[in-house]
Amino acid sequence: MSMAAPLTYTLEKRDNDNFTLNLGPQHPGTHGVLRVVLQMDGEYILHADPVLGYGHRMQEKIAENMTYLQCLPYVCRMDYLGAMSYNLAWVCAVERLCGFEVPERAEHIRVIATELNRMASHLLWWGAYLLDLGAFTPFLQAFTDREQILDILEYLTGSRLTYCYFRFGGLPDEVDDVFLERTMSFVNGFRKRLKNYHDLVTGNVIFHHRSKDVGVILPFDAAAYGLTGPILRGSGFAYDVRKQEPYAAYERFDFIVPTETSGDCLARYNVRMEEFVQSMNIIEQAVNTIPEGPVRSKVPKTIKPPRGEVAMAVETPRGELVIYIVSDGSKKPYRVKFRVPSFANLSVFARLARGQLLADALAILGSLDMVIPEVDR
Amino acid sequence: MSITPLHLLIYLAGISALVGLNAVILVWLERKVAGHMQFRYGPMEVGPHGLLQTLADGIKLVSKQLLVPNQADKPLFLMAPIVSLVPIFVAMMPLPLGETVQAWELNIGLLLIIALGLLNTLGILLAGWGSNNKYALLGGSRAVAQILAYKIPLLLCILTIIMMAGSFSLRDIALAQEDGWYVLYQPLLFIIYIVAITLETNRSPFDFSEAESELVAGFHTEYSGMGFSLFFLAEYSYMFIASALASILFLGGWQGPLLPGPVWSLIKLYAIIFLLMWFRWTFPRLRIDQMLSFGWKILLPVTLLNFLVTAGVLAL
Amino acid sequence: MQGSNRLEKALAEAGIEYRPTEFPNTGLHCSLSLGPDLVRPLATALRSNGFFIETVTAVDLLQENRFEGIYLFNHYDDPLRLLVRVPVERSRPVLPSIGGIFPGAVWHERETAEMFGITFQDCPDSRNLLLPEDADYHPLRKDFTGRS
Repeated sequence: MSMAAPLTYTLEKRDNDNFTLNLGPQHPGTHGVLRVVLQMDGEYILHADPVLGYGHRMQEKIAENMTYLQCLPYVCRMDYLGAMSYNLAWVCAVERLCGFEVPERAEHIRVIATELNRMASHLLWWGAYLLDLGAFTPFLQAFTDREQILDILEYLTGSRLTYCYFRFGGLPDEVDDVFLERTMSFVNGFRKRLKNYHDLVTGNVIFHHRSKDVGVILPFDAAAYGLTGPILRGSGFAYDVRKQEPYAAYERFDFIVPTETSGDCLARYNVRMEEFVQSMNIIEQAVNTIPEGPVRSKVPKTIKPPRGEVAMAVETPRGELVIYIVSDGSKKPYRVKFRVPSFANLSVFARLARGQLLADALAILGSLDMVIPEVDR
Repeated sequence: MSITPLHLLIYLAGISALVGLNAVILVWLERKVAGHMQFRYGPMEVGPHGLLQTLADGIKLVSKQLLVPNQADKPLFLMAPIVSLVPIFVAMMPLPLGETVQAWELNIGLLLIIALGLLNTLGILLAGWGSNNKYALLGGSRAVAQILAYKIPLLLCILTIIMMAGSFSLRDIALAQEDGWYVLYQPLLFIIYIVAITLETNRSPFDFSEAESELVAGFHTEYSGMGFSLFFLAEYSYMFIASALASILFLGGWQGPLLPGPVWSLIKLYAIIFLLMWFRWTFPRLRIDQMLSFGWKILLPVTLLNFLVTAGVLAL
Repeated sequence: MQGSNRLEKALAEAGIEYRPTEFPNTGLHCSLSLGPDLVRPLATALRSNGFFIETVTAVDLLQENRFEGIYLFNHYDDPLRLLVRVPVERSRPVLPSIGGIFPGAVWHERETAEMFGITFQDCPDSRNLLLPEDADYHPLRKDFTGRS
């Protein structure tokens, strides 16, 4: 017996029965200040119209008034959950523009820190997605593990959430073995915890009924909307920037890109759960093969890149981030464009939510894993 | 047996004490159970192991401003929590907690409790409509849809037990289990009854009417302070009544070795309440149409079949 | 390389010559400069060859008195970042909209329109996206100082 919502509901408008529901900027289910104006017929959504801009800070204009180094703390405030990847993107973009080399040891540490951050972000997604579905316990269990990652990253970088750690040419200072040992002990402990998470949630009948065949993203829509990240991989495309345009030592490590073909919420869930395992594999390989050596190469004190433009793509926990910098030879960028993954991922929500029940629409929003400050910049 | 005003006074005092004490204990128990299931302690600060936490919360809630939203239907808005709460005092009358511990021996006690259990949903609907808030309205209408799913299977469960015991009176049903508790004869029915009371008391995984992540707070979005606490007093009291019914109908009520009757009664009752709390902190929420599907396509045929089979066996 | 063959084929469908660049230096595999009338044929050719839209944005070249509309496309199977530059006059910036071909471009175009004041012809939705509905200023222009 299928528990999917009836697909034969026809969307003809009946007079006086439809109403407008404001899934307002303040709502427990929208993961940030997102407003969606919904035209509803009872519990069915006729039309969804996201209204953005509640967190708009004009980052791109601010970046034009700051030097390249001054922009570094700004970049990680856009996606505060995957801040390490944004940091990495900015630093690699400027290094690409100026032609700086990065020592191998620094690249390994960059990879370890970014993958730890990816795991922390996915843990929060897991807790928040299940909170949207109504299960309260996984959220707190995920945070127990996330606290350990944040403690490790605080030991390394000094901050818990919005890291401003990488520098042009490498890392700010030496990394000792304590960080590597703590990372490995966490990874070994987390493999067992992941099994607990699968026992609690992944096999649950109610969870399957809420996620299976909900919010199916067709492969046809993926390219039309520019989707990237676990959302895309849930619909069958094995596109991962770390494999396609490798940066920062990723080509030295052996990992697979998990994909599923069904394109529903359950597929996206499975992709992200498998990404935990792949991140742990990458971290293990990076820690085991890390070379000794310097962590920063010599770069000039003031960064004055040559005239030109550069595009740097990085795989954040949410998808592909592209930073496009146009430089006019001065120490401030002429134009910076942040192509954030959640922007494209949110643009498909209006199409996915049509004809769905309100409960399903919120489950879809949770499975898209967005960070609204990143969308609003 | 007639009721004198003195009886009424003693009864009201006793029931009020029970309802109040039950709420205090259950709020604390819920938070402790939630905490321990989530790898944390729960309240520990106020009083030893957080025992005085409910008192502190109660004082906080009572001291909050009673807001009535603009253009809300004021009489309905203010009446809704009262409609939810007052029937509890009547519904607790026929509940026997011991051989002689019972407020009023009614020969149709069970019928009275079932009838009054519906008024909780009426309170929710009034709150949903009277709040002038679309989220509350959605919550209220979901609660009404929920009745359709669980009421008939619940009634069939209870009818089966009545058939086996031969009486509507709760005392007689408990006494009829002297030879063997009904849970041994009807294990499937016990499971269905537990599911049905989870639906009736709006507990997770069936807490659609107050779904926090979908409808901001469902039917009690606009309530603050005392109104909100009255709804929760009502919810915990209905949990008490439903679990008490479960222990009387299936687990033999006050019967048990060694300990006195009321103690056994409370042990069984609170064990079932613990089960309901366990459900809340483990499972995600169903969707409303899935719940209706489940109620009509699974619960109803199974309970009907069970009823017919029991009738057949008893006739032989 | 198979990737560049795919790009060459797509460009040929739109009647454009393929001009590769040094990828490791710039992050772009191909960089083109087109007139506005070639944008829609190019987008159609790219869509039918499986490319996806990364972004639509603009750069304000105040000194040279023009805007440059910037389109970034990429492909899922092979690394093929394509940058398309479309210069338009600063006094009357009009670009054709590719919202009908790539539905995801609508939001990018809305944002570019409100930030620079560029009009996208036949865009299915031209309301402001990030700025308030009644904003009549264009923040990312180089002559916008924020003091009204």
